[in-house]
Amino acid sequence: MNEVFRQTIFIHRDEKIVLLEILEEGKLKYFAYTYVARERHGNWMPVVRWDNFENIPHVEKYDENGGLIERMETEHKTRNEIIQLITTFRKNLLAMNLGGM
Amino acid sequence: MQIELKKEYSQKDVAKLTQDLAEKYGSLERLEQSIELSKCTKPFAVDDFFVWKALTEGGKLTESTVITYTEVFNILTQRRVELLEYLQTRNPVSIRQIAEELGRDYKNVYDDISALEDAELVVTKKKGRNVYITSAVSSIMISFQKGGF
Repeated sequence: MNEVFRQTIFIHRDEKIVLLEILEEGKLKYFAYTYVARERHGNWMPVVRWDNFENIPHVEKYDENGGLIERMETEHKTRNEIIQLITTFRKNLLAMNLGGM
Repeated sequence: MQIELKKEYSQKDVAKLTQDLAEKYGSLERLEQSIELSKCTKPFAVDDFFVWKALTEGGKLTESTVITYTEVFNILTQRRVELLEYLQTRNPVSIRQIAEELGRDYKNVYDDISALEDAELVVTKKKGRNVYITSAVSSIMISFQKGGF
């Protein structure tokens, strides 16, 4: 039995974390944790995203137009670790070496 | 302090969601091809693919929105909470219909729906002359906690 867990955490009116987990028989099969910010025209754009597409955990950084800047492989982190990381460092995430964390 | 808004998905809701995904992407196979070609430019399409695939295989969906900033109380006024309650049982096709059924001014209802939509608490979808307005939440829970998440 598959379970789909979707959660949006608004940490500010113009900033949110979009969480998605898909579990198969209780095991985490796919995850995507995306820090999203609203740009000046009101559109939501991804800023930093962790996911395991193609079964490889990695982190991606995006520019203000939603274009990919950087993609790095990273160790798997739990949902709560990512939420903590984003809420603590949200203003500096793009400047941080997230692949090495 | 945080407010958690939960959405419980009935079978009908899941069917509606998969229908919306079909309208947006065509088919699951077409979406799969699309994300293989352009994964990095469409990160949320990748998410939609995995959600759609899991639901097609009979998956159960749980969804919630958590709001951690206190300004949300400016959004959740008494009138807007009443609107969310109204949307639990009604499926209006226009703001005018809501205004008439609730005996409220059209402009005020329009402003309230816009504010709730902005906070992703309601979803509006235009189809022809109609605007289908649905609630994105089915319960609101306020909790006080120490040390964040």
